Amino acid sequence: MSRRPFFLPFILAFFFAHYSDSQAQAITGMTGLLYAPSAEMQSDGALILGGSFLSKEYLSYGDYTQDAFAGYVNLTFLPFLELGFRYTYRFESINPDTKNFPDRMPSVRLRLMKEKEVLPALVVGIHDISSVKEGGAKYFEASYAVATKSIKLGSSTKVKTSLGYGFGIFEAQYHDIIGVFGGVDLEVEKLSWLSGLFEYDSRYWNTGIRVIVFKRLQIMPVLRNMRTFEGNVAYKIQL
Amino acid sequence: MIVVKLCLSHLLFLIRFSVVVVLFFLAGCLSLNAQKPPTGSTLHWMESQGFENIQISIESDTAFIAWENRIYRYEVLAIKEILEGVPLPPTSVCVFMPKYTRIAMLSLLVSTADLESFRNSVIGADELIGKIKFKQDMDQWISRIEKVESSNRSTGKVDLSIVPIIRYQLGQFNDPFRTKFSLAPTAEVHLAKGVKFTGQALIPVENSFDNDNGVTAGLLTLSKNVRLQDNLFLTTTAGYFTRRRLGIDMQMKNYFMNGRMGLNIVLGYTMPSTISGSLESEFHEDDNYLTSRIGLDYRVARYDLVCSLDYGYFLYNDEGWRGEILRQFGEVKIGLFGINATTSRNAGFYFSAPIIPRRYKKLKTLRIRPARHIDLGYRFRGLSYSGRSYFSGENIITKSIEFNPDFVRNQLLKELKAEK
Repeated sequence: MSRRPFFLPFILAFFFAHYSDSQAQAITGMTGLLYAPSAEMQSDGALILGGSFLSKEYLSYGDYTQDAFAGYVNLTFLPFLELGFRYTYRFESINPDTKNFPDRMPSVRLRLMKEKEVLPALVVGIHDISSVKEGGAKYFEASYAVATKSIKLGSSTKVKTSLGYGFGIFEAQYHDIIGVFGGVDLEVEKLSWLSGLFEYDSRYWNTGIRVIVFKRLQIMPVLRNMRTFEGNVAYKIQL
Repeated sequence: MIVVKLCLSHLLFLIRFSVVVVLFFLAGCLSLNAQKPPTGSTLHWMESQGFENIQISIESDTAFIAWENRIYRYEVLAIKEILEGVPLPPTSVCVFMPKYTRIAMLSLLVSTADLESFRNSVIGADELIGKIKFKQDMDQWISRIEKVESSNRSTGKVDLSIVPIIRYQLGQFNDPFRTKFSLAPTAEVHLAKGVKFTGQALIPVENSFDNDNGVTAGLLTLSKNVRLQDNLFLTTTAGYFTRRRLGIDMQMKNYFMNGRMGLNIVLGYTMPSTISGSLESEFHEDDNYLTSRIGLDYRVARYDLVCSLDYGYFLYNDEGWRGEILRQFGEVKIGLFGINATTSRNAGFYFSAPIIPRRYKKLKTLRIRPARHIDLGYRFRGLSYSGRSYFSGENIITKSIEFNPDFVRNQLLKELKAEK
């Protein structure tokens, strides 16, 4: 099988990418690193449409037997308030026999503090706020606080470090983020359309790259648990 | 027998309200002691651009210029075009007043010298906007143009827009994504000052949502908009509304603090009708209902954010609260709402996005154009009848947020900066 189609987006990205200081959309559909949240916020009025591929190996919602696709819309409603709505479905027929029922995931993030010279930015967030079965249908619960600080290394390299804790406050079938998580996002000035990311999402170590094309399109392949492919594509519209 | 009874009750209802409607209509037609419009380059330029109901009055050193925009999709853009392009009269001050259904909505007071300085790039957009006084309290200005005859009147012209209507439902086991996409040709005709007829047909294009596949009636309404003193806006609409309701709807809104705070009252009496398709739930819908709500809203000017809270009776005798946060991102509106009512709690969001083009052809007798925007909503509990209300069409109150002084100031600055 030819490898060319797989690399085509990256080749295109290399030629057509422009600088963009937009923050990343994590696989969850909310702003973050790869899977773990960060305390960065998108610009005010940023509307992001995207989709993520979720592997069955780590997917409680898929009973660890079915991969899933998550389509999402994310809006920075106010400069300090981010809202998200995700619709996830497994790759199998939707009917009572398969017990496959698409999952709705409304989420919210609130910035408590902007990044300052010494102090990091601080954000609290809740993913998968509501459930029709008093928590029985919550497969992606996350209630967390996270801090992010940018550090300049030399004249051309920037590292954004994030550290947070998932509290698992709400009753849920599965807690997506629970316990300590954190990671780094490495950017080099001359390749500012490309970032390298490495994180611990409270369960697994993950790595990936983020490519920004035409200032609007994000392509992010991820190695979950350092071995399984996941990823997302997101398109940003500035309202 | 039941059908005949229902038809008779509809007929009686329409006869009763037609008397009220005719009175409104006649009131709007009266235009006593009309003055001749002033001629001149200002008027000619505005006519040539396609603005309607133009009124220009000059009193000592002040020019009052009022117009109705049905050329640009976006009111702010129309204001920008006028500020940048209109030949300025030989006065030291100009008061610009955009209108809706011939009713002045907002005033922008600016010195002619400042406007000329901006046009000659002597001052920037920030400085110009800082010098303009955006006021909703404008009773003293309205009286200056009241008796001036309008040029390029909108009366009798047919504005036909093609409105896309999308209905959908997510999450049914037997059909996880049900949709209905219809095109709705919508004719709007101004009949007199503040009086508007709206007629709409629904043409299904794709339908996996319900069994109504034929062409049916959408909105069929006659509305009267009024602006009274002290920023009190009233609208009365009679006819056929959304959610298969036939009846009368009255809305009142009083703005305070230059449009930042508003008190609103909604009163309606409606009955079911099947002229646009069968009832979805006879249990809920097959009855006459009085809706009555009172609410307060507050605008956070910095973010063009409107927070509102309503209490009262929704359709189907459902009593409760509805809280809403609406943000205007220029022409895009995005709102979040929560409902706590007798039937159930619910929450959701909606958004409204503009449709190209930004400028339409001039409206002479008949014009066909796309709708200004497309609207979509989502309710977390889609099948719930909680906190429901009908839509009786655009009116002076729904339109007033586009003329809010803070909103126009913020967005005009963006438009002027984008241009420069």
